[in-house]
Amino acid sequence: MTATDISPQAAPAIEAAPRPASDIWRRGRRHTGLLIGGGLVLMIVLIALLAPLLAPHDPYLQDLNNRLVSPIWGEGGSWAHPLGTDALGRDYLSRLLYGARISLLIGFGATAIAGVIGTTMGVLAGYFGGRIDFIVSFIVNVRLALPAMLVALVVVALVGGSLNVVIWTLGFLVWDRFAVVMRAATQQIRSLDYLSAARAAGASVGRILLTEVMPNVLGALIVVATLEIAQAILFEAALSFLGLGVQPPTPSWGLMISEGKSHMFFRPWVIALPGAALFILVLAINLLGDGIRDVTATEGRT
Amino acid sequence: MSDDILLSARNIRRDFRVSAGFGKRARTVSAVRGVSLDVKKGGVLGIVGESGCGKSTLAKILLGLDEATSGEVLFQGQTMAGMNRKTRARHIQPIFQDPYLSLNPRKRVDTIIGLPLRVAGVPERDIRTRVAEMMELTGLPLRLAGTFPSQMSGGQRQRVAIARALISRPELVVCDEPTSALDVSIQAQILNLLQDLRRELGLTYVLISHNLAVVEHIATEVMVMNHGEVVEHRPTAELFARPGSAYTQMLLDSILTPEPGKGLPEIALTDA
Amino acid sequence: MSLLNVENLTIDIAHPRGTLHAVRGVSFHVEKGETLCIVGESGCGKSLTSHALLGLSPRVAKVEAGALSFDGTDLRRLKERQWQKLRGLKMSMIFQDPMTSLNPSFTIGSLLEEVYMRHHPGGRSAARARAIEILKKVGMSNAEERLHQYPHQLSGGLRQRVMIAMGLICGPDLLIADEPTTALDVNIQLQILRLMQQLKEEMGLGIIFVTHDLGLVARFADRVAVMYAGRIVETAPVAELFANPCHPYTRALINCIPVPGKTRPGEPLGAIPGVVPSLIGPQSGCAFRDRCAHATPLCARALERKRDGAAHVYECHYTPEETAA
Repeated sequence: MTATDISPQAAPAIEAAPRPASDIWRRGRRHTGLLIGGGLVLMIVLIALLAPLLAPHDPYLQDLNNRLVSPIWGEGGSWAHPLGTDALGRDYLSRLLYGARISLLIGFGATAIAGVIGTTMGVLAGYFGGRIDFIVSFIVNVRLALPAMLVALVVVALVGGSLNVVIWTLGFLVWDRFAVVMRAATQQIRSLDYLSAARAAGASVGRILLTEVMPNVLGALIVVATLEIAQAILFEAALSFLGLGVQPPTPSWGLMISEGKSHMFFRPWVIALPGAALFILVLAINLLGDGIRDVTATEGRT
Repeated sequence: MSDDILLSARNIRRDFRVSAGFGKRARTVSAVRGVSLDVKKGGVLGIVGESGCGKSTLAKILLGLDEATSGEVLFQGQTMAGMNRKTRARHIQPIFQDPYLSLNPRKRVDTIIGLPLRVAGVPERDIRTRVAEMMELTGLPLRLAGTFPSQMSGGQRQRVAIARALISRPELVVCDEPTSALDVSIQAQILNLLQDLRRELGLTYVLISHNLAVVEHIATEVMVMNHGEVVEHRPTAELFARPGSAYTQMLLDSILTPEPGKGLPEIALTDA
Repeated sequence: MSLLNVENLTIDIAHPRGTLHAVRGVSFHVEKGETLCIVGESGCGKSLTSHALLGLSPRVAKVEAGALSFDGTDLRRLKERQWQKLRGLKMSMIFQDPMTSLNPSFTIGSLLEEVYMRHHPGGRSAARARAIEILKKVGMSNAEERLHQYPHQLSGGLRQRVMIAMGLICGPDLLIADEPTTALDVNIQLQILRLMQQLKEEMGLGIIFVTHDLGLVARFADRVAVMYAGRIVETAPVAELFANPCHPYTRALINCIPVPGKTRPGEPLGAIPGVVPSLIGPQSGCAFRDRCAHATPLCARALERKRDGAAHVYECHYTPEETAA
């Protein structure tokens, strides 16, 4: 007999903290938002990975005789270019497929960097409190006082735009939410007795943080990470649109919108297609993040 | 110092600085004010007092989880101040009040119990056999090894906490209200288990509790605390038969024994 | 007629693995000026039962009763609006944790006045006068000053007094207390208990006191109902229950607690082996049989209620003589 059976008072909240893996799996399969978001993200990741196999053309290949060809449903569209071509005659479908790589690379890359910075600062501040907390809070406030977009523009303008520069710049700019959320999550558990027990067992601070604290703040970390991935992707699109992000001819969705803006009145699809791609990816990531938060959420003790 | 003293504390004081708000001077509050004690090898020292009397702070200091503002703790005559945290862990282990909070909810039971050995660098194979031994000793069915704390009852969880505390074979166990979060029938199981383990393994306990009936049942000596100071410290039977202070008398009188005819005790009450 | 009469109360809760039969046919009554203690371990259904009496069951719970009447009113038919009129005015409840049950953003005065004005439309000044009166009644010094304080400025004992004052401000006939002293020091617990006893005697208050503490029950109750796994297994006047416990569970429970001067220090206590059975799915027979030293195959059969004197009822297939250790 397991203890989950025994407490009628606890019955409304009988799925006590935390949920074992099988339970999370069971709930996940019934969460519509999670399934849709997860499915779309998975699809886009696969597209990005398999872009060379899926793309009908080389995304960099210019064909000046076939500029601004309409998509298949438009006037003069053909299966040779299902989504038409851009102003330089490059196949739009191929560029969109390759563009997913850039967006995901920047989203994941920047978030990974931000996650390491923010989580380290947040967990240390939350665990130790006192002076370390004061210093971290100060750094977070300084960061929040900086207009991120402006700083990114300045950095890229000074150093020059490239994929690496954009990833690192964004990584060093979007860690604030990681720090704030991880600090709060760690504060919630830092005075719990299982940490005292580990301390009394002689465990080092590093061991306590990695093996006792981290598993308990992981849920919050994942949720913040998904939000930040979406934000970084939008950030990149904005930078590229302003011409200070990824440089041409790299196929980035933001850049494609920027390049298409002079044709938008007569050929709206040149911005609508990359715009829709961005919208779907960001929406999917947000749905996934919310879903993960819902299914891993703990309902407190009984 | 005689050989049969396992742990002693000399003039322990613990002050906390409490900020009174922005711009105001921080106040100093003393939780423990100059407490000295000796714990005899093989004995059970019960520390009793009302909430806020400093008994839990004192327990933390004995465990090395908190540092005294002044005074020192000696283990077998050696000062604990300079003691390596792993050495200290081999000698002294805690059992906490609430097994819902003292077990990491994300860890399997066998991982939780094995933690002190893993920290000490014991090879994983030995850890597994010793976890199994410990589970048997504390009355936990082996099939629970792979479960999570949330799947266990309160009594089982406290057994896990006891198994974790004893797996590295410490000489001294500091139990901070080990049964006050448990139901009475489970409390009896755990108290019996603690008694059996003490005899079998030759353990020494420091038992922090607000429940005088539990202390009377388990402890060989009792120390009464009030406002961070020791009111009295004597062998249990003696203290219960002839309390040496009005405060102790009040505590004893306020025990609600299951004797229906007596009604509520008639004692002078301090203002809450 | 009893102040409160409960017959065959059941509370079912839907659960992924079947229905959880949290309370399974509980019957009891409370008279004016009487204290009934419901005693049991966590999960026995005592809190659910006490909450159901005020219509405060969790939404997922399905509550049914053969009879549920308070002072002549059939509680089963009440709409939420009617419940609201009853709660606080005629029956009130005090909870275990005064820290979380008092809204921290209101002063003591506005908390008390709000309860009073909900049932007595009229001026704030009348409510204020009543608030001061009731604070004095629950033994709080400088009541006028306390009105302007916030809950966090009070100690645990004083907060619990404010809870009781809120429960009593409209002069109810029945007070339901769910472990109101568990979080308090012995000294403050005694003050609260004495206060409740005094109010019971002065105002003829009926009290239902839910607790797990047998010592408290012995000193405070007039009658006791022992709950186990969703049923009242034994009920008797307090002296009778402790002198002559008839159900093996009651007896085991009494043997579990160390009593200075009675239990021998260091000797094993009479622990009850095993854990509480699952109440999910169909239930049959005596729920205690898996942990009972005297259980026989007969115990799996339908239960029978036995009487030992007029007011002493227990549910066991065997007589106390047969199950004596």
